[in-house]
Amino acid sequence: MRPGRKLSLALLGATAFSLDASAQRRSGAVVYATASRLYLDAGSRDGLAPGQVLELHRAGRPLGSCKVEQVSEKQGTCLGSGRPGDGFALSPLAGPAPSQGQRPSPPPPPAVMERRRAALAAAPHEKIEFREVPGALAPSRPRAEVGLRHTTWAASFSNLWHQERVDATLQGVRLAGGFSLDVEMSARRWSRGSDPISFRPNDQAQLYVWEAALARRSAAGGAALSLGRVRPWWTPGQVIFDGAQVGWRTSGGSEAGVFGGVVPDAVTLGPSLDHGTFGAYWAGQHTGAPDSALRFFRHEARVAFVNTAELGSRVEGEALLEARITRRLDASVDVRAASSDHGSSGLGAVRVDGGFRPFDSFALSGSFRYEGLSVPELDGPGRVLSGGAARHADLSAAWEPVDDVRLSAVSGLSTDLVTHLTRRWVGPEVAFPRLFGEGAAVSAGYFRDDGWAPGQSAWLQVLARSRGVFQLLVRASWFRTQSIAPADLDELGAAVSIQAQLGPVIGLRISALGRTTLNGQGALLGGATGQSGVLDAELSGFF
Amino acid sequence: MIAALLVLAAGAAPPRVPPRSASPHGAMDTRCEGCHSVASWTSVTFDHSRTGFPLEGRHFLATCRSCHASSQDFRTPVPTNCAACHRDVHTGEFGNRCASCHDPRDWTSRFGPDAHSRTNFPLTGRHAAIPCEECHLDQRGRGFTRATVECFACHQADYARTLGTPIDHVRFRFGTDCKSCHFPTRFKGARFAGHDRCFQLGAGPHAGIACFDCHTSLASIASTGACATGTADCMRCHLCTVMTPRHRSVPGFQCNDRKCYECHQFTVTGGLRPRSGPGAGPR
Repeated sequence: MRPGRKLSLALLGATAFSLDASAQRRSGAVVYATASRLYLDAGSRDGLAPGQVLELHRAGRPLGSCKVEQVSEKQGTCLGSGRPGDGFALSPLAGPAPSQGQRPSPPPPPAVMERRRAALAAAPHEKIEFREVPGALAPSRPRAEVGLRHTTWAASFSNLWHQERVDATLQGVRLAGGFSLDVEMSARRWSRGSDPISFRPNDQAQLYVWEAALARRSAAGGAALSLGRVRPWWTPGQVIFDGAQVGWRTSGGSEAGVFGGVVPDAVTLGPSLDHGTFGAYWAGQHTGAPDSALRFFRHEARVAFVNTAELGSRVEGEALLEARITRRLDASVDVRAASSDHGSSGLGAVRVDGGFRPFDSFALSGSFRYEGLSVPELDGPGRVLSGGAARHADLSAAWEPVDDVRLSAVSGLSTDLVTHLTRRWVGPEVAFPRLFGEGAAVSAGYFRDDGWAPGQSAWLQVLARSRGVFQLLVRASWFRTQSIAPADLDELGAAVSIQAQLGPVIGLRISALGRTTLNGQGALLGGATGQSGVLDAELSGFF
Repeated sequence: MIAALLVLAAGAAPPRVPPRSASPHGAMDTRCEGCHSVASWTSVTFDHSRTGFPLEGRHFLATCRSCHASSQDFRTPVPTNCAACHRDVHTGEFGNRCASCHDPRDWTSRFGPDAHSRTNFPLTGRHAAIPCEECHLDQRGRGFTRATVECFACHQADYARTLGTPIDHVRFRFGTDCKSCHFPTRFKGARFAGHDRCFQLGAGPHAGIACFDCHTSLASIASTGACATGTADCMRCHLCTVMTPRHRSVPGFQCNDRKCYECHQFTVTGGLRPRSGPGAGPR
């Protein structure tokens, strides 16, 4: 006999032996495991029955036992602990083998299945705890977003303004060597008739690049680097620059380092060698235990030399602190101070935000802003238009007496510290955020304004939606403003916005806004009134 | 032969179960039917709103792993504030209240003219329908540096553009409080609020009439504040050929501009009434 034929016969014999062994199994195995349940590759055909106790073994050594919970013909579940690959002995005496031809019972009728589904849906779920996770400063997952957008601005007695634009964002796109690419840019094309405009009147095509940087940051820590047009994300208050940011990260997500580069033009964002910045930064955070008092604490700081066209040379220091204390209180403080050779030394900005939820159904939130610098704005290249130092505060309270009803009171105060013009506003809002299930929401509000432009306003908003697919928003508003024109100004406004998800990654949004201003006249559309509106359409893709 | 024995030995051994992949949900007790259906293992239908964080807008389309990336166990808490997942292009200037301006569907700002009324500058008239950068010029920081709330600061160029025109604001020494004369819809159709004290334009038959429909010049109007300007040209519209026959019964009637005003004030309080004597008027 030739060796090849011997081998074939041997293989044939082995196969027959194996088939025989399969038909009369002596052991089974765990194929899937959760914390308390094991999924078995054996069922009633192999002699398993609910309530039976199986002795588990791993690599030939006893492991423990589990109790058979349910069985089908070929599979079963067992309550106990183990992991895939663990084995157990099968005994022919373990239970009655089903007779040949016995079939599993038919599935329950639809009504029973529906009852089970309803019971499952009504089962309570644990609420998500408001909690940060360590390493939140780690690079986020790759993301790409592209939007095509057209906007038309229209007003009576005036030419139309049109703008077409392409917005693109790439975030964390992974490249070789551990580097990733971050880009945020916008290309715009204007057509604006002959109306006088203040912003880049002679530039029909405009390109803005806020970020175009190669970055290397690992969640595991180590050297951190950003190179290119850098938007220093965790460096509070730092202007974008063309240069580099170099630092060191810890595995916990904290980072410290230095940065430096030239500051682009404020209006065009074009590269410029005229102005620059350099400095050092720190960004860190602490995440407490789920039941600790201090759930989250974020701390960032920056010290930098900044030279810009509008403020000259300055040495700035800025610190940001943010804390979440239990699940009832959160607060953040941002303070900026500067020393300058242009007389803008001192406290540059103070920003305080807070939220307090004494009960789950009641929340207070407020903010305070002090902008100490009279930051000039460039009224077109080469000219300076002074912007005002300002102070702003707001406070709101929201109460949900019952599910799906929200009552709010909103108030605010804003003062321009250059002109000392102040406005105050206060008013109630009521909202029904969930009508017809999740299908609709209705809200309305009224405000009374006081100060240099006193008046009143009211609005009603209706939202209809099909979750994740379609949304229609309609809003009607009325304003009466005094002291801002030779006569009381009554205005009626309407806004409509339609958003539709055209596919898994494509979205469409069309919105229109219209206002008619009565200019002290009674007629809605008379010759002395003014109409204005904005039409906006955007097709966007998310990848 | 050795090979055959090895094969036989292998066949005689208990069947080895290849280790399966670990549970994608880690060490947690799983009720598969809570999320999965028999239609498709990958078609997950978990009602996330019952966890206290309803998946609105684009969140509804996100994969579970987009947020629950740090752990295989979906029970591990995930931060619910926006900044935990989304980077803040405003570098903290507006705090963590993203929802004030942004919608869960995308990051395009929803901060419109209505919301702007919660600032120190309500967007009235034409201001409600112009691009943001017309006032917020600095494009670097996305921080919306505070534009001034004073009309003249933005409209200096418009003020200067009247130079050499019949309404030369500089030559006639008009003030720079634009809103005292102009509506926020357009510069044309301005109204001099003080005019009603002398001759009503805010209402009545002359409401909405333009300056140069009556006045031959605007010189000295703002500088003196007096009613007598000597520039009103009533006869341009009220022709003598029409007015003279109508006033045959009026003693002392003369068809000239000054005489009109001596009787017809059209003031808010006075209305159309004869004046008691020769008075100051638009002469």
